[in-house]
Amino acid sequence: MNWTGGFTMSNRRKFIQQLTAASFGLGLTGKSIDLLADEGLKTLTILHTNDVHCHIDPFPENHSFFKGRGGLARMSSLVTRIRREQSNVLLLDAGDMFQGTPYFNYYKGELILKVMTEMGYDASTLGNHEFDNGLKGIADVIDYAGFPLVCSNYDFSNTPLVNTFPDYLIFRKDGIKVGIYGLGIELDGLVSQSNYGDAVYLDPVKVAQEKEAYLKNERGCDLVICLSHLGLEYKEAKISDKLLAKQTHFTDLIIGGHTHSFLDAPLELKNADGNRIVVNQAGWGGMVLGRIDFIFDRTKKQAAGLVAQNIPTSL
Amino acid sequence: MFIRNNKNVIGNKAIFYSGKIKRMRYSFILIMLLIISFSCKTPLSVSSVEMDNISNQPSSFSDDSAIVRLVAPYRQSLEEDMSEVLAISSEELSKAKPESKLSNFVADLLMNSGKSYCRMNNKAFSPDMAFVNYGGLRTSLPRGEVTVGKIYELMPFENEMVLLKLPGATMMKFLKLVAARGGDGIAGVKLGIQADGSISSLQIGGRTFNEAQDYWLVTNDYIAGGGDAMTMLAEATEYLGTGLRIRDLIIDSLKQNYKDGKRIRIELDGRFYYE
Repeated sequence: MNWTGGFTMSNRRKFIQQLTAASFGLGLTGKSIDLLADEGLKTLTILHTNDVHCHIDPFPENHSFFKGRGGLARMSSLVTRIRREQSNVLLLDAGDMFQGTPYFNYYKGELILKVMTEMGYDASTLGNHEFDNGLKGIADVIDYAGFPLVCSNYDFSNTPLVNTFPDYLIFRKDGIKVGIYGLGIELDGLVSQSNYGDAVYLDPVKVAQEKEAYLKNERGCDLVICLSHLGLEYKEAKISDKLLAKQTHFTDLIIGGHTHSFLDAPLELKNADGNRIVVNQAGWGGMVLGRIDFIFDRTKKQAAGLVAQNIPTSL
Repeated sequence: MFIRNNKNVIGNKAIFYSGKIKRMRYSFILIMLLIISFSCKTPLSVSSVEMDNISNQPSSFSDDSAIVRLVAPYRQSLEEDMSEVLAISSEELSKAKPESKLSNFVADLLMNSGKSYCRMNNKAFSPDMAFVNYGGLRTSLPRGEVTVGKIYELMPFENEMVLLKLPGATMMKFLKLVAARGGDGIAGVKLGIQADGSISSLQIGGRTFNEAQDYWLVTNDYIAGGGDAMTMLAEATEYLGTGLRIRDLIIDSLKQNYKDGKRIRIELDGRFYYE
């Protein structure tokens, strides 16, 4: 929907087109049915997926672990229902949209990006599998994405994809200002060099700290979200969402991917200052829709209240 | 109406993003509305959070008809190709560590493809070992009909078959990491490991491992290029790219076996075991 993004002034054809394609009415939400509004409270509903891997249809009936589960075609109905109930919704994804079903082998990224556009995704980021057909493979299909892919820690300056991915996004929902940055996983050893070319991986912790401070302090965002494809956690010391979380100061939510982690409930961790940061991941293949509702107060008082209501993923 | 780093401008404008709609004149009205709505912005803070991981299950919802319509033409042209039956399997094949019917099956197919490639191209060598990374096997194969679509799900990646000539010392470094991970797909090798992941016995081609000898490894270009931290493979003294996709090779050999009336029937043979 409505976003401003981190492009430099020299920017590019596509972004201009996006600006001029200013749309009719999309930004004004329907009548608020939010009863909390009467008390001066506003709700922002974050819906998220990760590692969709081109699963548009559910897993087949003869699948041993996931039969009948997942797929975006049915998830779209769930998203639609939530959008009817809530006025302020952001639908986000944490990467690895590509690869995993014949839809990818046959149609590359075209179909999955069209489906996600039709579903009204607001943003995604780059997973390692987005590189499976090389940088050209991304360039060939990126125009099918009617939503931005935010990426803050890959430097594409010396590649044909320069200026394709904003390094931050700002959305506004009913006066709530939401800043989003994106973190990709180290490509070396995971993606063949011929596929990522001259893209340069930058330290995600350093980038996260820069972006969150910028979005919070300089841009005055009410909420800062990280779309991460780093992975939830590892046995070794490799950087992950859990390790990142405790080194951040202003990030409210890390939406993760890559490790295909099913969590019974989103995790509430402490950031570098001992404040709450939520970390979540939603399985893969469209099997889980993560939902996090932030309820905002107009005062600066930070209340500690938190209500978690969890539906098990019945693995 | 480009965005500048000017807080007033940013604070009062919203950019509407859509790939489809181009109605410039409405945007002006909209921007005016938003200037009004944002001009008296009070700082907000989160007072509480509600969280839920919602399972997308069969009974929960029906498919979104808009998505179904969008996908239909793509699905149709795919289905014909994908529904072709390639093989009949006596049982479901799934992966497990240290060895499994699925990982053995795929490693054997790769070994055979590597051997016939060398034979057909009059090479003086033939692969001593085939290696299929565990993480590269992306689904199980069902009991009964195995279709082209299933093989695409099993091996979705566009990986090429590659042959590498490895000095014995490099082969040992490689096998040590394979042993420590305890469960990739291997063929041509009999590998005994201990609980700590160290090698306790090793045979290649039925013979005791000899570090003074070179070995030929057939694998995919991802592993050959150092993927999964197999960086020692950069020490290969020869790298032979075949230009053949492993998935296509598997599909072709399954087709041939099916034509010959063979069923997929796999027995575990203890090629990768705990001592």
